[in-house]
Amino acid sequence: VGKPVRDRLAPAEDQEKLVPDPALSACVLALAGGRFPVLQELIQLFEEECGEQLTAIRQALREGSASKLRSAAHLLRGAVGNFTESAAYQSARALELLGGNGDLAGATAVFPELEQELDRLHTALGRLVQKSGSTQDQT
Amino acid sequence: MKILVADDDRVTCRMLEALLAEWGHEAVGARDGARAWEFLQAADGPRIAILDWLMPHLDGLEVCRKVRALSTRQPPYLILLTVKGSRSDIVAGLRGGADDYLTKPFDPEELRARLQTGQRIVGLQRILADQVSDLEKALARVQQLQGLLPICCYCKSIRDDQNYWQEVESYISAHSQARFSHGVCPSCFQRVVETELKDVVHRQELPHAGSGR
Repeated sequence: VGKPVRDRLAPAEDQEKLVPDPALSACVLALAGGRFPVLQELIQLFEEECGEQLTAIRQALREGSASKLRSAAHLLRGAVGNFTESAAYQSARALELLGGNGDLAGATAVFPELEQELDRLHTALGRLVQKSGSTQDQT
Repeated sequence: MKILVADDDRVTCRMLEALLAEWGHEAVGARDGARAWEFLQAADGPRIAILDWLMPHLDGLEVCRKVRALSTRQPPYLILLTVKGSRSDIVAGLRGGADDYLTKPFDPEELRARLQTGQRIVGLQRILADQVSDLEKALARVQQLQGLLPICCYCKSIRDDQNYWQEVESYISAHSQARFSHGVCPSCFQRVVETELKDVVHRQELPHAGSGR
């Protein structure tokens, strides 16, 4: 049997579980401990901000505006950085740098990766909210 | 302690406010540099500020420069919290007037520790400012006894700022910490007291001389 055995034998659902959640920042974890309403409010704000900046990035790519791309990616990076320093943050940073260098083709290639990583981050934050909420219900 | 949070990113701003509240501080939020500058100029403004660098209207570095140009004895403690993390950025930030520099994403415990340093510095500045103020008051009292004093040639009274003539003792007592105890110097004893004593003895002898007649 060739390696990796687990990957070849695991059903599709388990395959999804093998992808770990992005590491959440110490700030978020600190607030998740005792301030559940604040955590919910922050995630709500973050999702609004993400939506706005993703729209701005798509528009900048359509218009071919590197400066708008850089500006939107910078704001997105700042917002993402509050929650994680992992792939989503790095993708936003890469997009900001590509915008700064005027490399719109490179940015177009990186953008789907950013969207994918943001989806994973949203999922992880959703799980954290559920976990914090149930912990608070128990206390 | 009242702490200013200035950041155009509403998520960062809210997160900092929540963390500061968790640590027992009162957070004051500003979404641009101009508003931050307004807060920092107020007499009862925050003594510590966490400033983003890239902000609309006035950036964080400009806010630092403006604060440092103020002539105040108790300047606020300024922490730049920014995504700009290159060595040249850090040098420019600190040279521009920031007391401390932290890059985003930040660790909450590191920020908390740096805020404690800021509180310590602000406390020391307050003590120093109070001591300087006390010294200035003392110096002002000493200076009141310097300069040209109009004094009466005969009775030695001194004319004060309100054009009243005061005895030397009361004038000096009013303008300094000095107090007087009264005595007689040897020269005055010889000139005044001995003379008066002789007069008294002389007066006592006169009635005897008169009664013999």
